[in-house]
Amino acid sequence: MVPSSPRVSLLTPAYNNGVYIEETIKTVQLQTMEDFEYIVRDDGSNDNTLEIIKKYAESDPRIQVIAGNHAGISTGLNEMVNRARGAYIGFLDGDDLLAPTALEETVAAFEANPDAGMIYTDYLEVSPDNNQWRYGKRCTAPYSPDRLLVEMMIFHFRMVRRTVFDRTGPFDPELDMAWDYDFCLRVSENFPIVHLPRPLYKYRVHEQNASTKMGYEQIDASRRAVEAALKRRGLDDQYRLKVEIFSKFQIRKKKKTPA
Amino acid sequence: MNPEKPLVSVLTTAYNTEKYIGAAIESVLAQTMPDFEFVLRDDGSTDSTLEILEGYAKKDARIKIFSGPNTGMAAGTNELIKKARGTFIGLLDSDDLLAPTALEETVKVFQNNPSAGMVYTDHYDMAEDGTVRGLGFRCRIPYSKERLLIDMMTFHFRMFRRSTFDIVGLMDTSLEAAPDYDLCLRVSEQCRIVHLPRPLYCYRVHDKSISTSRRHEQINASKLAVERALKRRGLDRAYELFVQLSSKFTLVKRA
Repeated sequence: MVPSSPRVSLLTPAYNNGVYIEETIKTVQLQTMEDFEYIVRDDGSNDNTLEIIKKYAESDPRIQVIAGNHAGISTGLNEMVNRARGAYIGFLDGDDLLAPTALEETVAAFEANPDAGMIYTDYLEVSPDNNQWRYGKRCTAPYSPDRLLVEMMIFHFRMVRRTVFDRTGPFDPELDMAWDYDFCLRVSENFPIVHLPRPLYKYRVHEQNASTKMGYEQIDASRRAVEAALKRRGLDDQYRLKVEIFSKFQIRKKKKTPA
Repeated sequence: MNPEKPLVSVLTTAYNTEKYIGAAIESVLAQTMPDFEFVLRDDGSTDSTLEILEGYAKKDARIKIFSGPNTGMAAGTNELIKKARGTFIGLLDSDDLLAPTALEETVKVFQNNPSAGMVYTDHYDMAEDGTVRGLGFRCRIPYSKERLLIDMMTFHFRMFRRSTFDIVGLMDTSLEAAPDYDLCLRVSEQCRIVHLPRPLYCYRVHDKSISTSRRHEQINASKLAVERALKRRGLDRAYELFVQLSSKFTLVKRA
């Protein structure tokens, strides 16, 4: 393809994704629309993520590797956006999978909607081994800029027109735990956002029980993102955000770990 | 009735609840079962709570008040438990209300269940202004010692046999955000808990949502309480606790 300016830049921030990233990269290489560059930034992983990315980059000129230090997702994404040359920029997590027509169909949606700043699709939730799936539900709420203040329905796959960053500015490292929510709020204040109801992304759901800390930090960062949006929109005089947090406790049989 | 040996001690710790404490006290004084002492501790309030307590103590000899620095609910309740002289001990929050027959009906359950260490009732949720909204969701969950590991259904009104505290100990002040959950778990492991399905308590639900960080502390403390219970019960080798958080965002029009 034309190496100087590809149609799409696909960005993957990768951190300790050694188990999954190979599968991720393969779904990118299988895209029906081939005019893209694929930028993967390793965020200072302590597993073999970087090695795997480098191996694939050697045999595929569309893949560019950034070996970064552990800077966090927003800083890493900003670095990749600055390097991206595509007219459209898509975001793929380091353990997730794209449907083969993801780029083709999303770019077609942009061409049908010349005003759109962002297109987002439906997604499937898949088990860690990618053997079981169910239809993702976050995108079922109808999108509107107002509704986005109380519900984050803009989930993967997300693609933006490169020029949106001129109006929204870069990703905010202060809101790493809710970087996507904050960014979508800012896009929604400047551009139409279009929903393409096609399941073009597989989101891997992991069993995690590290702590409630991460869940809490995500909710709290989302709260800050919405409060900032209320201020930008001049609504903070009339409305305040109420945040309720619910917990669900489950007792599960421990998995037997091999001795 | 021997005022030195009342049948029931009702215990309340109060912190800056001048708006509601009067109603709470009136609901105790209106009990159909008069053989009780009502012991309150002002937890270093900065409003007029202590003055209100003192006013009521002058009017009714069954009311005893203490005051001290702000130590939190768990430490304050422990202090009151040590002072209580009743055979049974009931706990009332300073912004809530007892139904008139709460003491009478709950004591009766103890008398019919001599092996019970704790009796809890149903409760109504009540709006800030006192409007009753309906039966609370917690008490609709059937009680079992095992289910208590994932659902805190042993909610208000709670009454304990005094000797229960000799067996399980007092409230754990290091779990300030969930001392009642921890206490109920410990009681459930040592004593029989009986549910009286009668709405004898009004629980005030405040509109002003607690801060998300305070809510996080609560959930963490509950998680810790359950993890300790798994350990005490010898279940921690085979089972583990999963906690999932979810959130609901709402825009509220400012007044």
